[in-house]
Amino acid sequence: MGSPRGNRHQPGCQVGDLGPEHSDKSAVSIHDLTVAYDRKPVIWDIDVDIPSGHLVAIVGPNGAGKSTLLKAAVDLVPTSSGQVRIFGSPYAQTRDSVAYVPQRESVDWDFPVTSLDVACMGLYRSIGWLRPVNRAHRKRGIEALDRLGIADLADRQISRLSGGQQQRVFLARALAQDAQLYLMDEPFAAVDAATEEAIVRLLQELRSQGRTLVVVHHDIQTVRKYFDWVLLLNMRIVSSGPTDEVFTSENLSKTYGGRLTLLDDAAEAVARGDR
Amino acid sequence: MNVHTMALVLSDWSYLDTWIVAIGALCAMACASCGCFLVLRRMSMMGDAISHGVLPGIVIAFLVSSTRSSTIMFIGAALAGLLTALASQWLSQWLRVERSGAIGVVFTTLFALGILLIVVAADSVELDPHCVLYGEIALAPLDVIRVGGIDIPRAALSLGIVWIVNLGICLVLLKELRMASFDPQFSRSIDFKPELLNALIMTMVAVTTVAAFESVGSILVLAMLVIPPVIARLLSDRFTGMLWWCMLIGVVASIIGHVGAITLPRIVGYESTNTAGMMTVSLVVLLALVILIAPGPGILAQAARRRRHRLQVAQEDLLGLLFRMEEANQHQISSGTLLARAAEAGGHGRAMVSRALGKLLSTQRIQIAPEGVQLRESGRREASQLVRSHRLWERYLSDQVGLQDDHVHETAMMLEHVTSPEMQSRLAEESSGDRTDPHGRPIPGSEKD
Amino acid sequence: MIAATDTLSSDLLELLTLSQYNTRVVLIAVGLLGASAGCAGTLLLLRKRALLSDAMSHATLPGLCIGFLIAGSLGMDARSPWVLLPSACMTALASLGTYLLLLKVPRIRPDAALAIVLSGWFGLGVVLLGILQQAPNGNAGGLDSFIYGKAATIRASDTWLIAACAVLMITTCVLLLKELRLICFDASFARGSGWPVWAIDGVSLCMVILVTVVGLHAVGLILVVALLIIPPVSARFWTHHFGRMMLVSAIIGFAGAVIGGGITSLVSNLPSGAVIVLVCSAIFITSLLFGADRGLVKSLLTRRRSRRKTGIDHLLRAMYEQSEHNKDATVSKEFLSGIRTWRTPTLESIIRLARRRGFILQTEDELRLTRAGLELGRQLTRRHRLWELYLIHHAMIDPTHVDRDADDVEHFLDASMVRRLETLLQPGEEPRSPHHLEIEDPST
Repeated sequence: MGSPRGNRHQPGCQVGDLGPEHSDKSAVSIHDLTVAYDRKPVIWDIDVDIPSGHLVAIVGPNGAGKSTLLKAAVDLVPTSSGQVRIFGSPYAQTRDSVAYVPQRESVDWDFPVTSLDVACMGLYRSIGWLRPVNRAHRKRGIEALDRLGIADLADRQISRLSGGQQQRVFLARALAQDAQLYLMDEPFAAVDAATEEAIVRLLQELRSQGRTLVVVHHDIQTVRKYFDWVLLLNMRIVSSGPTDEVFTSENLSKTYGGRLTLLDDAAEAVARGDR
Repeated sequence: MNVHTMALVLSDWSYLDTWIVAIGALCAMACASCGCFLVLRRMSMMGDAISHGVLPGIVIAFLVSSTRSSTIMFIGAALAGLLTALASQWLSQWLRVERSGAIGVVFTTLFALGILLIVVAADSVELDPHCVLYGEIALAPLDVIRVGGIDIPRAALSLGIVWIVNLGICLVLLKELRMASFDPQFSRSIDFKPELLNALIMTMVAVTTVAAFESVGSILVLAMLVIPPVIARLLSDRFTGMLWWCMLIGVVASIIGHVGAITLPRIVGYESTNTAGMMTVSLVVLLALVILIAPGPGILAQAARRRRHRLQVAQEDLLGLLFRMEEANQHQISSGTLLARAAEAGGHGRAMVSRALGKLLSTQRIQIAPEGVQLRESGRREASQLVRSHRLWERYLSDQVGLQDDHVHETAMMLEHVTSPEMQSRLAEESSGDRTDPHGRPIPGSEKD
Repeated sequence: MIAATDTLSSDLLELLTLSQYNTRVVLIAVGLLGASAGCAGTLLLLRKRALLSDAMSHATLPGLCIGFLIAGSLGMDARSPWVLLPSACMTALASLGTYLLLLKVPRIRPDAALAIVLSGWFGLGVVLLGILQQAPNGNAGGLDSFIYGKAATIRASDTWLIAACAVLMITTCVLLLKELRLICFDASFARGSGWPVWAIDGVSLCMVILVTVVGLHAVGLILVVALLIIPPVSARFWTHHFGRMMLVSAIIGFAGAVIGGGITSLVSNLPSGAVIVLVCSAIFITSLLFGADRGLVKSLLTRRRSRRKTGIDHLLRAMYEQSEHNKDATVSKEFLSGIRTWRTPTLESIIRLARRRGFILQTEDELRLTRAGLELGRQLTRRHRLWELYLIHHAMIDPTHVDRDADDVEHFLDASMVRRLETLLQPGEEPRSPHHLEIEDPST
């Protein structure tokens, strides 16, 4: 695994000019990836390289497979074909340099843990099995919370936080992981303006440290403002590259303009035929 | 209630009763320490399924070993319990059977098998179907083994060991189990094997169920698994706090349960009844009590909070009313008129406004003058801030939200009571220096002015 | 030994001819019960409330005990169903009420509420049972048949009760079929369009309570839930149609109960509840394996068929594409195993299948397409290329990847999808495949 830094200005790659050899210096390189739920393909034949050091948005309509793409990258869903390499190695070998932030709705916020407990979960990999969380770890957890401006809520049970604060706790956990690659699933979903601002500031700060951030984003209005790299997805990659080049109205209408009904039907047919 | 009879019964308390209480407490504590995870993962009914599903394992182990050899029984039952959990998971995942349906199919089948085996092999299995229902905790102290010169009931020993092991696992794997229960996806992404930990929890539940089986039977064990953690969750916001509350609740329920079992039936002229059943009933009673009186989420606490809030609102409405009268140059008003107008304007009950009035008087925010009630200085300050919030809100609702002027008053009435000073200053910024509300009345200055 | 066999066979004969009055009564009763449980259970399962019935059936224990005490103190026959069943109904209803109340408490989840209701009410029952056993007016032994089920104790008067309940329930289900289907499918839509969902729900829950209470005699309170759950879960493997599912579920419930009841009347001393449940479980396992809708065997067969079809399709297309270069050429096996990574045994079996279906002729190591094979190969190739074009031009997938994607999909394109592809691609679009081969119209 090469150092993820120092190759930030790799030229953008458009679909079509990808050869079978991928650069092993890119942060995420996805090759021929197809993921199916219950044998019905959700994303088809994804082939994309995400260079490191960028703040990347994954944009696409509902059901386009954005979350699935992230989950496939961290081995949370079984893949039908293809492979994902992170900094040139399979995910199993690069776990320590990846932080995954699931959707906020994916957990039970009534669970009896405090913000600090959640933030410290980001340190568990470095703490290891069986060893308890000690004072030094807690201090780092509080630092992470502090960078998101919620250190004063460290001892609060998580159901007593607002939606935006809960999202910040999730990000604090990812921050505590001190990763090179951050994969975030809809961190801006249903958060207040102050939280959105805090998150953006954090993301840009992390990028300026040379880290790569891949963010599933649903608000087209803010893509240009926040992100320097875009990946347009609708069951397959429509386009990917620097925001200025790729985030065009033509590409957007390709992404959002009408679902590929035939592709949907074909997915159904494949699922039926196999059952 | 015949206190005398009860005292008489209790004076017969023997070491056997102490052992029964101890066994009950150990049972509840052992169950609750793994039950916490079931409750937090919303898998309580899986506890029911496992406790039923272990029955054929127990019976087959009996048939194979023809003794109550603990090891074989534990292994057989743990396997059966895991089978229940895995089979129902498999049915719902791969064959798309609805989840609760899958659980229902698996555990009823296994339980029926167990019952059939008990009846068919009645000669070689010294288990009767009643033991399955409610165990034999009353007989448990009689079956003793000698450990280090002391006679200890076998049930107490096995439950004690299971309890210590369970508690040990909970404490040693605290952070792993907690994370796997809270966010399995994240756990998996950092390779903390939530599936493995889940299987560990299921095994703990199965083993605990077996240990508890002889004392409380396979149905009441569900009460021990689920009710203490539910009570503890109402009392604590921390996982470890929950764990310790569970232990306390187990002990308390066991004591109340046994005392209740030997005394309560005497009142209506019967002998004692089943302790395990009474323990369950006392757990339910404890739960009801906690639902009623728990400090945070309890019904009484909530009612008190609501009442306090309504009183606060009534006080503020009174102050606002007096302030607006002063603006109209009416500095005093008879308390009767004031109460009637406040009750009408704010939709409060008469009793509530008179209490609010009393409260305002006793805190020196208003005073009784010869011709009626009037504001004092502290009251006037508070009132002016309230009215300021109210009119700023009216301005905001009319200008920014676009409500019609004759609709803004009610909404502002509601919002003025929850407006913090920061919100007020932000409102002031938004209203861009407008000094009047939409009805043309002046907005009072802020505290600092 | 011979005598024993003789009695058994004569018992069996008696059972099968239903000559004994008692057996007849019992079997009719449990059969009707099974059928109505199948109907009510379908509603429960589809509303995802299967385990609610478990809690309610356990909650009948205190009701039975109270009924027993009341009957005893009134000097009635303590086992009279006219006292026991209403009081069991009352506690079952009360348990439903407690469940609904607990759902309102913050931090108590539905699953925990269910477990609390189940064990709490049962615990109360156990306490009362402990007292009952000392009751002077008779032993509580009669309650045993309600706990584990003793079909043999069913009397003619009970049959009438069960029959009346079953008829009531089945009529309700038939009359309310449309409404029940609606709330099972989408309760919030039903509420939005003005249906009294709570009333329909109430009706279906009342049916469940009725089945539970009436079924206590035959199956016992611990296992009666199985009669409500297993038949509909099994029925789901046969059909996905609501009405048919209810029917199949009723039939399975009927069959399971009658067979189970029959077995217990043959062999003395078996707990009828457990036997009936195990028979139902056997039916469930059969359904799981051989069910016509999503049974295991069927889906394995489907998968095998689709694998075979895929293999033949690939073979024919490869041979057709070869024949495009060189009319009337033969193809060798080595050549075929070269273009796709077929292992030799797989290739052999595909060739055998294709030969049997008359698509190819084999001479020594040489293969050649028959007329039918040529025609099919052409159609397949056309579909494949149409799909490739669609992927390139509409899904914007890299041309170097389309071949593999098209490979997966071409076998599943039906005529209407091919037509849609044609209308999408024909006007003005490139008529050539990315691999520079013509798309031939099969009509030419």
